[in-house]
Amino acid sequence: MSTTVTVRDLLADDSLRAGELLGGASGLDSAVREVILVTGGRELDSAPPGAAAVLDLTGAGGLTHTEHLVELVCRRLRGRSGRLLVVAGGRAHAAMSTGRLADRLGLPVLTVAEGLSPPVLACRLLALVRRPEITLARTLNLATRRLHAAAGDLTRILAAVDVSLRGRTALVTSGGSAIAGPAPECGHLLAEASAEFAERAGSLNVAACPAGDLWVVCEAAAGGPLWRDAALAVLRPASAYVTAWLAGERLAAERDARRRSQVLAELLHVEGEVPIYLNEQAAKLGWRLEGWHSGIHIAVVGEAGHPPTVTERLTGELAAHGVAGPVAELAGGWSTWVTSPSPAWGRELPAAVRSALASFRRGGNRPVLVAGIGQPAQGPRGISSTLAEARQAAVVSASSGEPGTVKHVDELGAKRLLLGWYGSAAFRDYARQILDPLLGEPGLLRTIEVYLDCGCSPSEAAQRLGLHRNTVSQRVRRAESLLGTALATPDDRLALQLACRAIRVG
Amino acid sequence: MEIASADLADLAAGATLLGSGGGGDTVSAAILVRRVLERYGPVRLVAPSELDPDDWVITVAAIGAITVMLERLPGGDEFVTAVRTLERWLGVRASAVQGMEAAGFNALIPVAVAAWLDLPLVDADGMGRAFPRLDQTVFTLSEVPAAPAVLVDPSGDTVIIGSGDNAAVERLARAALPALGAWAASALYPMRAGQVERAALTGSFSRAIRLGRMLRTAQRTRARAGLSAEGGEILFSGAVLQVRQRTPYGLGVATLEHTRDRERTLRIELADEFLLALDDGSIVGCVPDLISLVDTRSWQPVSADRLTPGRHVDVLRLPAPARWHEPAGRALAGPAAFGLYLPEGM
Repeated sequence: MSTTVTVRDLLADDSLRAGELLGGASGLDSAVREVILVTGGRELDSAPPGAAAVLDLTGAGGLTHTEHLVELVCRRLRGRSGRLLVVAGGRAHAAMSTGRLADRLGLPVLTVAEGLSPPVLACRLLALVRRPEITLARTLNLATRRLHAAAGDLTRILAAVDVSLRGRTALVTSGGSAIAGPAPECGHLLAEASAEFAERAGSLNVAACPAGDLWVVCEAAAGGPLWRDAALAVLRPASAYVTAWLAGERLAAERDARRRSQVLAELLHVEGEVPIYLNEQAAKLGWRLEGWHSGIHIAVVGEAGHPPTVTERLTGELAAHGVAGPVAELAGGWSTWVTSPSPAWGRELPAAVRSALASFRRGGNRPVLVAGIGQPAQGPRGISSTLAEARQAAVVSASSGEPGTVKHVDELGAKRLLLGWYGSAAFRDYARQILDPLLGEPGLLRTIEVYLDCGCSPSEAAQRLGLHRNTVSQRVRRAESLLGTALATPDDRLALQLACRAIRVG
Repeated sequence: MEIASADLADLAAGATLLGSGGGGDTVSAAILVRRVLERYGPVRLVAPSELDPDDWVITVAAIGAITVMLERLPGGDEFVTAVRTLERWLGVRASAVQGMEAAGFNALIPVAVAAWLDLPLVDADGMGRAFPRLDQTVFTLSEVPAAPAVLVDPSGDTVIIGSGDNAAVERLARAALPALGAWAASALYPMRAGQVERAALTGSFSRAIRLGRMLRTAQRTRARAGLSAEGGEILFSGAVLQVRQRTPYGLGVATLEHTRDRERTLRIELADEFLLALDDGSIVGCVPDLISLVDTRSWQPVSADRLTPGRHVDVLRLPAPARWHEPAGRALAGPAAFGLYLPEGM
């Protein structure tokens, strides 16, 4: 691999980092191939093209005024296709003319007030230009050592990359939001990226390497291609350390989730007194079994399966909205409850859960969730009864089809009658049977569903579906012929509507 | 040829241009000299060849802070005393006076001195422009000693530097100035007319008058052609963007932006005078040649200490007398003499 070294790379080196760029920024991306030490005019006459020059003014023989030489050399160096002029020991407050000339010629001019002597500086830069792989190897070696020491601690892993690359490092989602570290300025680049990359975006260098379904991203203003090569070299092992950390975290999260589900399952099936060991386990998890409990069940609508991190994010959202109960994953959703000394507290619960779900959706999180809330109930047995109600309410919420719907069991009224139907596997099979001719045509099924929900009004259904009234009427006729029933018959209409709901819930 | 009060405006204008941004105020000096000439009549300007080769010629100049002199104007006695003292010291009688520096303030003083002494003024000087040190003369190049030299302050206090090489005379005179009240009338470089012919830069005063006439014509008519007849050229026309005046630690620097090509930059190094001009990084003017700035509109010369951002100026270059370009001349009055480092090959 051969690395191009540009002026930016030289300016990012420790020896020049403190220097002041007087002008010529348009030449910062030029490749540097050679470094020369200039003490007079002769070196300039033989300067090879693509050279960076270090101007040594220490041999001025006691004459105090040397500033003007910078401009003379600048002009001559540009004439030899020079790339950079470094003025060692130059004065910090150079005249305006120097910057203007550098800008005009597109030749970066840098003054370094103190530091290495000019010959030593020239040697250092020459090594950087001729053998960039040595710099790369040194950076990687140091980074690997730091990463090894930081293993298992995400903050320290990111800090190790920060120090090695002198950048800002973060662990981010492919949407660009930071999970750890400062949010990257160029996070939007990740949306289109499929593999590791390093590039210059505006005034920043960005390098990113995937770590599981996340990205380790480092940004730095200083540096050029050499930095980007070094960044990829460092990010590769760093992302392996991050992936290992992620795996460990997930393992721990799953272990916890499983324990919570197990304890909750046992609690729900307790008859009579709660056994001592179960009390103990609940206490270990921080659950309060006494007092008044209001159960909440959150159900997934539609797709099955979700990433393991959902539980954690959902718990976070609920807690942020004042619902700080234990969350356990149970068949097709999550159960939680809040405990208070009196039954009165539960009134604000629906609003709180609603905003938590809305906030969860706004964060771009999948899957689509709905929730149900049970009546407050007392004591350890109360947990079981309030959660049972919450699950019923959640089924009704799911049947509405609106993401984020939250129903309290009290609101259900007559709908509780329907729960039996919705919940019955036998009826769901039957529903599938009678709707079978429509299952292959989701558009048709949806039309019928909405048509029935709108009290068989084609105009209202057309409005809700965004279709023409005639299209709705025509689809209804087609569905009738496919199903072999007439929607004018009340019994058929009721059976079809129930079947539609059952399928949606299922 | 004579210098009458009518010639003084031209002489003063030319002397300012030859000051290369330094040399002191010529306007007040012209007023002073006009009053002298109105009283004593015109001064005869002679070529050295018009004198007997054995005639003594004494060089006169005001040295020190010109600004202080303007507050404490010379009455004439100090210059007369200086020349008479030098004559007594040498046991000779001067047949004429000449200038040390026919530029700036010191281009006018010898005219007044010649009138006070009722002697002719030799059309010659030792610099052909303004320089800050009294040993920076072609006399030094020709090994004509500056000593004995006499310094007289306005109260009549007198210092005689009896001997020493020219650099030593400069050093001693400079050391005496604070005690003399910042400036002094001086009579120095006594020489015979034959030596003047060989060692001095001749035609200096007539050149100053000619340059002044050219400049004043240009001010009135906007005609710029006269400049090239004197070997001069306009280097740059532009606006002053930044001026960093000299400090005890370094020279000053001015940055100018070209009027038409706004990216083109002229850099000028300055001390009491303009020393070096770089046009986009190339040397276009360098001491000992003269760099003079004039206001673009009025063509009034702009001195180095009056240069301020926002002014629009034309930058002129006039060649120095050829002897300043010889190696010895460059060593005495070239860039290095002002602390400017220009290594070989630059």
